[in-house]
Amino acid sequence: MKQATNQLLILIGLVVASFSGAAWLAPQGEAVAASEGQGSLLTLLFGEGRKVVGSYFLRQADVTFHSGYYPTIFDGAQEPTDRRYMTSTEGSPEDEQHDREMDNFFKEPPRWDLIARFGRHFMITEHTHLKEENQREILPWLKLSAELDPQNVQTYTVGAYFLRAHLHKPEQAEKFLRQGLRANPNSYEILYELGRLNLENLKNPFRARNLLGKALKCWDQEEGQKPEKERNLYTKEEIITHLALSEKEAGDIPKAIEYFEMAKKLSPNPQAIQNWIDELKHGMR
Amino acid sequence: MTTILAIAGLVIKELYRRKDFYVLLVMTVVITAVSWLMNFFGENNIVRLLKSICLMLIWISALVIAVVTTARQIPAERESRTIFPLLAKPVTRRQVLMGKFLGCWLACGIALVVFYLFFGIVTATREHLAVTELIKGFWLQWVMLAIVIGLALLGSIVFAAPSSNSTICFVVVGGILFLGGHLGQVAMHLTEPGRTIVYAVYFLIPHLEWYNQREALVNDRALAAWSYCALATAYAAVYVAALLQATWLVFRRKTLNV
Amino acid sequence: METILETKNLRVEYRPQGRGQPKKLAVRDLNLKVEAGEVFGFLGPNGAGKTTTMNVLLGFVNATSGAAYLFGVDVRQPIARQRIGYLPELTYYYKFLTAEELLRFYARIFGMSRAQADERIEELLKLVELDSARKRPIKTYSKGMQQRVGLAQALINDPDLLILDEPTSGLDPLGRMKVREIIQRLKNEGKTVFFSSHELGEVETVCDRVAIIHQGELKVEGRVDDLVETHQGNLEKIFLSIVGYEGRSAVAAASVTS
Ligand SMILES: Nc1ncnc2c1ncn2[C@@H]1O[C@H](COP(=O)(O)OP(=O)(O)O)[C@@H](O)[C@H]1O
Ligand SMILES: [Mg+2]
Repeated sequence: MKQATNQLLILIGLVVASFSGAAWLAPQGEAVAASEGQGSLLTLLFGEGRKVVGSYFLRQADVTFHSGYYPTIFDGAQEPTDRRYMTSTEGSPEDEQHDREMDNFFKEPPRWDLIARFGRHFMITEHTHLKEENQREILPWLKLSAELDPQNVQTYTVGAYFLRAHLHKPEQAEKFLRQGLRANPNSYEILYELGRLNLENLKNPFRARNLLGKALKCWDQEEGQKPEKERNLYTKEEIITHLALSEKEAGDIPKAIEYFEMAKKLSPNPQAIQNWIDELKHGMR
Repeated sequence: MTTILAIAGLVIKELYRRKDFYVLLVMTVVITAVSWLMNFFGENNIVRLLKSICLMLIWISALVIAVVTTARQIPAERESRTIFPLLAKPVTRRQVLMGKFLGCWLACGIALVVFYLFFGIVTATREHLAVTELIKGFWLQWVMLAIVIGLALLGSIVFAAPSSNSTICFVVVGGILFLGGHLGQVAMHLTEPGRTIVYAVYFLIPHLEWYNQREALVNDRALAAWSYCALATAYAAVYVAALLQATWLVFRRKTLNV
Repeated sequence: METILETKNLRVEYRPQGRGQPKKLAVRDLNLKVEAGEVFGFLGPNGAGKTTTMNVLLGFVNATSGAAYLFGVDVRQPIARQRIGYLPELTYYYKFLTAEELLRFYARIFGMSRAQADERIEELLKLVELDSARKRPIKTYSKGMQQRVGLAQALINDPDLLILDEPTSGLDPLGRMKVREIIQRLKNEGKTVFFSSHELGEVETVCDRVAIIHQGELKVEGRVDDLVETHQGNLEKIFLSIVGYEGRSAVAAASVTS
């Protein structure tokens, strides 16, 4: 009997040891992964299940973003798989769509189900998003998610977005995106984020121009194969618009106008882009 | 009452003379310290991951202490035959059970206070500490442990081996924590007779998941109002009383020679 | 004279251990009476049912039929055990306690005040000669020392009746003599002692009366002197003849020589 207790303690000890080891070695593992292009220690530890765990961590980032307000598979609500709303501004269509989905995933329990009704008082039932400085709280989960499931592009774009836009750490954002790019060399989403980061935060329009140009190529390769309706035109428009802005910053105004014209065809609001074009043409004169 | 307290005192003394508690405490402190030193993207003020790791460890430790300590009480008394000189004194079997229950619960309470103090210190290094919420979280967890201890005590008399009893307790408690609250939703989607069975289980089990306020504590949310905490305490008291009564009914007529 | 211990047609059956096996009849229709101030030897070979009888007296095992009384109170009531002391056959005490702590624990159960307990513990530790080891955990004790702790705990409440299950088994000659001395002293103090044994030599020297049981059945009962006279032999011979070993020949030989 005492033996059983000891076995339990040993088991716990092992869990502790592996956790501590993993936590300590993750940064080192990163260096190894960078040099060898192989999985880090974390990936070794979790083996084949790592993708699952990785997506669990990404989910955990979202849970933290909502301060624990999150549906389970039992709530009948579809758990958000696209986490782009995390990076969308308040009041944007994605944000509103997200609010519609998330505000009411709790189904009102039937009157006679006293257990569920009482239990409600012990659950988190208010939909909130993390505010500015608290947004750093989601970072560890993203880091872990990237470690375990490096192919999940959203991890990097969401992480870079928070680092860049709210936490004022463009260098860290760039590092994280570069890490993502190593695992996904042809991801137009990462290339786009990287380009935007260079343009807006690092003030390097030349680098931005190159990156966004590559992003556009990759978009064509990837989305071009898909049927017309399923193509991510929204991101294409964003890429082209930012290409235009990069050209403008780099000083090549005709090129910028050319890109704006391209973007105008894709935009749901072409008039706004036309205004920019007019402004540029005006400045040239 | 003196008798019950004397027996309870013995349980507490035993726990603090064994190594289990210290091992778990050290484990919690070490892992939390490692997490405290971790740095993500140059941010060194991240607190929620830290809190969630620390609380998770506290939950596991508290459950392990509660179940393992309780599960071995009566079997150890029987195996080492210490129960004979004890029962040869003017002590009823009900008093033995009550003493064991109280002792385990108080011992867990003391352990939990130490754990929550540590958690409070860790939290306070990085953010403002909401003391009342912390006390509520502590109280609810401690109340939940009373039910767990009641279960383990009943199990220790029904099942022969403490290790199998512990395993069963962990599975049951874990199952309730993860699924207990959702059984109602599950039942709705079932056909008869599964539906009735699942509903019956849903209404009969103690809903331990209410007492799990980790998510709220980690994410700085307000916990349930005190009035609801009081109701939850009363609910737990009913289950504890029922479990102790059932334990006594089994233990009362049990032939004790090995 | 006051009857301290009494059994009336006491019968104990153990449930079959395995399928298809018969019930084990451990005690059959046992009638015993022990009067105040007596030292009563309860004799029988291994497996005769001595421990079982004592277990009934102490409430560990329920009688299948018949009844047992201590101080005229049915043994099923815990209050019957207020004035007794019990030394089990083989016992380990709470290993993590020291002798002093163990005795203090039992003193609390009897509702003794702190001062009373201190005084009594002092006395007892001297009596059983454990004064020097009082602050050591019991797990470090030798077998003889453990047996003496057992005696001390049996005496904690200054009992009027002592029930000792093979108090000298497993002890070296010196240890046995000490136990015998203690029994003698208790007798001089006017206590009643009911003890089981299969060591006949010692029984002869300390007992007023004896009963011999075999396979759960009472074979002989009476004053030691009377038995020796009527059976014309020492206790050992009587015992062996009852058990059926060397049977009649020994008794016959004894009668021929006389
Ligand atoms: N728990 C039990 N279950 C079944 N049989 C038992 C049990 N305890 C004792 N017995 C049997 O009852 C008989 C009497 O045992 P016991 O009272 O211990 O003898 P003694 O103390 O005289 O040596 C023995 O045959 C023993 O095998
Ligand atoms: Mg015996």
